[in-house]
Amino acid sequence: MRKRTTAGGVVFNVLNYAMLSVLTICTIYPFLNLLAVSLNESLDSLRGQVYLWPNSFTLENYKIVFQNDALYGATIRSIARTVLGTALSLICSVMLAYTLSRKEFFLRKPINLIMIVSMYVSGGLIPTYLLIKNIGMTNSFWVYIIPGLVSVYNVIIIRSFFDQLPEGLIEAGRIDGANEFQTLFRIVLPVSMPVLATITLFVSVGHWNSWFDNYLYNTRDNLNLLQYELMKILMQSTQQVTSNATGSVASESLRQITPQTIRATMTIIVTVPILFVYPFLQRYFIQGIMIGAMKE
Amino acid sequence: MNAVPRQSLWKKARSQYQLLIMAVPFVLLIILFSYVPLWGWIMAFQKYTPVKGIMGSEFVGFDNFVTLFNDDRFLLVLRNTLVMSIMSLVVGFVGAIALALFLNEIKNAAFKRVVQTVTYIPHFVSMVVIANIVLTFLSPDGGFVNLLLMKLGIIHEPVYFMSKGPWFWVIHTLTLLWKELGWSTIIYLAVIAGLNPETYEAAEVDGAGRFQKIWHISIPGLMPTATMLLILSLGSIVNTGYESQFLLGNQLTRDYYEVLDLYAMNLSFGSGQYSIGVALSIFKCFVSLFLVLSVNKLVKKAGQSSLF
Amino acid sequence: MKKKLLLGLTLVLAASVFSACGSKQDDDGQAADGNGKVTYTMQTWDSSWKWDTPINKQLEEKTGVSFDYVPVLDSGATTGKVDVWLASGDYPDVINEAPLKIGKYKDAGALIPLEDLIDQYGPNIKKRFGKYYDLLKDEDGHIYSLYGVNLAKEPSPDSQPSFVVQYDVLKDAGYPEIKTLDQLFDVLQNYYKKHPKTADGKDVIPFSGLSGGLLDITPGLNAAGLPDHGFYAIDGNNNVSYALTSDANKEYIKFLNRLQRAGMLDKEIFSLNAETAGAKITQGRVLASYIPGWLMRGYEKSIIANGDFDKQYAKFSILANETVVDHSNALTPTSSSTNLAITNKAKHPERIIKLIDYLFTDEGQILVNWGIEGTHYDVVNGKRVKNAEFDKKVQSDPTAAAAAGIVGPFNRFSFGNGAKLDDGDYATPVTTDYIASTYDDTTKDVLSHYGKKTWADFMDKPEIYPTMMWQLNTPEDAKPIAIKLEDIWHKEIAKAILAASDSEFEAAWNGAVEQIDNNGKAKLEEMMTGVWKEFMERYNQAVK
Repeated sequence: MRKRTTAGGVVFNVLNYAMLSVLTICTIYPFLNLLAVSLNESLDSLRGQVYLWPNSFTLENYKIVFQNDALYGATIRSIARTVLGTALSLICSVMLAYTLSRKEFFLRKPINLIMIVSMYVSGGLIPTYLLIKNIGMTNSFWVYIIPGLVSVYNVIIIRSFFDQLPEGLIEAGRIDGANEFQTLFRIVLPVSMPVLATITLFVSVGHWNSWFDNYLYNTRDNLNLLQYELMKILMQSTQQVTSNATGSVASESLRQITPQTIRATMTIIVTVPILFVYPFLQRYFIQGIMIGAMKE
Repeated sequence: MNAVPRQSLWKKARSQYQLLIMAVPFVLLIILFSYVPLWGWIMAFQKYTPVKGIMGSEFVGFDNFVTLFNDDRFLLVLRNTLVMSIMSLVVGFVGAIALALFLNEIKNAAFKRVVQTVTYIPHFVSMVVIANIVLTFLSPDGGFVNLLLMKLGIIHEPVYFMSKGPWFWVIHTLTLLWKELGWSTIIYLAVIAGLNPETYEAAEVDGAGRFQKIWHISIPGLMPTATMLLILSLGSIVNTGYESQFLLGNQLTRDYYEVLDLYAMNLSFGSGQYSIGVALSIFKCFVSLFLVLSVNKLVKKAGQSSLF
Repeated sequence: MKKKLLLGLTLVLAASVFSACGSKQDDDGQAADGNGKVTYTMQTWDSSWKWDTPINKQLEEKTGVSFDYVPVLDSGATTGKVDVWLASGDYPDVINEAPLKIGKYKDAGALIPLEDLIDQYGPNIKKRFGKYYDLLKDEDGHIYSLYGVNLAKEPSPDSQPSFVVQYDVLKDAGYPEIKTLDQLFDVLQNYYKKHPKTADGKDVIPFSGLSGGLLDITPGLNAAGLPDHGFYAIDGNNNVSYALTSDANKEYIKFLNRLQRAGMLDKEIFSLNAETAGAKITQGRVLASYIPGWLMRGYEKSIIANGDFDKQYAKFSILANETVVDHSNALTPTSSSTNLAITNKAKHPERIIKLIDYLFTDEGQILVNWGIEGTHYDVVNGKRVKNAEFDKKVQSDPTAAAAAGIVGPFNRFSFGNGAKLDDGDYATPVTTDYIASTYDDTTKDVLSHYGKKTWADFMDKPEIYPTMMWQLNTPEDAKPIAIKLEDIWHKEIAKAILAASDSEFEAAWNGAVEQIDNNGKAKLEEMMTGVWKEFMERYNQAVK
């Protein structure tokens, strides 16, 4: 195989690298800016001239946030939710998607319809809350996992991927006498790494970032998640600014942690773990994963 | 499913029992959490207050819908919603697919990894922060864009971008693109990664250049997923949310940034509070389903792989 | 493989089973009898508060009552949690809400009437409210919510007018006392001519501010001398009118237009928010603005932290013209805003009333306002004084106040800053002397040029109003109209502010007025007049 490098190819490469570099610089700006703000003294940030570098370096903001003892338990719970939720969700979504990619499955069309329609209908906040309450999931850890167990969007993506797998793959399995479970787990999944990595990313990020279900359904402090605790800190700093502080002792504090600073600190705290997870999954986005399976 | 002799159905079920085990529990779960709460739709036909509950709230028929649609601003708001959604949809799609294709041409693994990781970060940054960055960037008072344009001599006075109505749509679309581009590209990267490299190698042997490979292999490989995601997104075209519009808009651009969700929120402060929200929800649901199902049919007719 | 799968499925099934029995302990931890220790769940609106503080411990010792705080983070628009509570019946024992929401709970039958309990267990509440006690009652004669009584006859020493002018500008002009908009315009124009840029080369912006209501509603009504009834003005006959389109408000919009035409109005004032406007103000580029105290305080902390003492702002009470009489400094006999109500979930509610009653005693007031003697305050020469060490802690650690319990859900029962207790000393540490002592030297110097001790001294004589319009329970149907009119106002008046000539201004103003008139103004005025008149009737009855 000869690789032909043409002049056009070189130009394209240079332009490509250049364009992507510009894109990278543009998109990294918010993150660097937030990092700078989070490391900048809160009152100084009010002056608004923090761009890429803190003008008045301090670790105070992180200290204040971490001072909150509730964060430790909340982080553990968030990790537990993310790991358990992602694992269960993956298994269930993959199973459902697999059945929908089997053209001979007799319930295929009705289930597809049920799923698609469910994506666009919603009963609203109150009926959903009453439902959760009536099945006893309020104030419980499982409300984080069960209602969101099967995301139709994810199932459809996985199904679409399965649809594009060559029939020969499945046939080979059938010939060897594999049943559906074995076909799925031994044959289909190993060559589906890219889509599995993608869905793992989507689902785990979803779990890691969610706080509204925490807020709505769980009033016990010992069920709180990281994002919710951080959200509380943010809300309270916003409220302290807007609440009528006349006569309030708190307003006399010369230090004030502004919502702007909290938001920046929060974003960094929540985003950094995700930044570590992605590169780990990224190695599955390598072309040629299929090769191994096809070569008999 | 058409009329099938019951026996055959039962037999089918028995022979596919494994698939049933793999599917039915989760479908039931979906039904439980998505369809069961739909009894709440009756609130749209009442003057519902949580106080009186479903039983006690007054039944008003289609009054809430009338309130929703009758306002003289409704059409304007609908226009804004559709324009911004479609702009975002088109730009977002083309952008995500293009980025995936360009990234795929990068051979340096480290560079590729860095670009991928960095470009999706704005997805995690709150819209409040993004909006403030955009406002500062476009500010007529020392904002970067104005300074640059003046230095280049293109303009002599700073331009107050955020005051211009139609520009709002462009600014909003670009802001959303900036925020979501990296994240939306991930799925396409995954699809490309799953394409058979042998096809590429075969094409190369046949003398295909870079662009031909992209045109004849990569893009057709992405099409099924892209079509599917496009149809799904079409369904959400009326579901814009209101946060980004509200944060970027101001009293000068009101006629351009007010979208359906914002409009409904304002209406829902009165006695019809909850019900108006549900009425809007029902309206959106029907529009979405109509769009999704009809486009899906069209796509099927065109011979492309469809949603279902 | 099959085994793994079966395990997975069992997990899922087990999960659902566990979830079903997971939450049976949804109790409130209340004691069975009426004595001994009791815990109630209470909704709070600030999630930094916690029950576990020295001051609350003292409260618990005194009354045996403790609270489990349930923070609600709903903002105005998203009332998700409250609605959900009402619909599901899952609300806490004690709620703290604005009068409108209290009304919702009342209608749902979730609240218990309190007047009998107060008769029995709340003698101090009755005593302190005095002739205003009947104001607590609803139209049907029951009391459903409790709030504080305002025993202070002066405005709080730390209140301040909202028109702010930079010290430098005043110094340059010889410390004039700016009383009208025209005066302000002239002072700003003179200074701006001499100083178009700041010391570090940035453009000076003579007048800036936040967009929205703080641009085109609040300052106008303030300058028109109207008390803060939201969008409304109330005349001597208790008729409510929509104040935005009144001639009084026109003066201020004219002022903004004048500034704009002279190039003195911030070009992007329509899109500034607290953060972006704050940046300009703290950088010292803005000469004057309209910023209410609670927002200004944050900005000034930043200015002081940066050492720019002469870039601070003086606060003046500025009126549209010489003929306007300033009625804007309003005091109400009660401090109804976020009010306390007891739901039917609370067992032995009299315990809660007893606790609140304690708060209305001198001892209780000292505890929640001053703290614990020796820790938070000291007695020096017979007078209470803030404890220096604790004060320093509060100054440097923003979480210290909440950790001590000196801020919490009970402060709103305070008798008011400047009010005195039976022992002759102040009910709260916020006194004129204290506030004056917190000023830096530059501020003290500026104030001395005007012969005033605190910024509160610039505010006109306070007037006692029965209540402010926004404290009343407005009819639900009025809200959509009010919101719609507000939106129309913002949109239309922007044209007037941006007008390039007098005729354009008049056309834009008239256009705005017309739009407002045609979109339900009369109906709104009628509804609000009804609400006000009805309240005044009850007020006059009660206060007889």
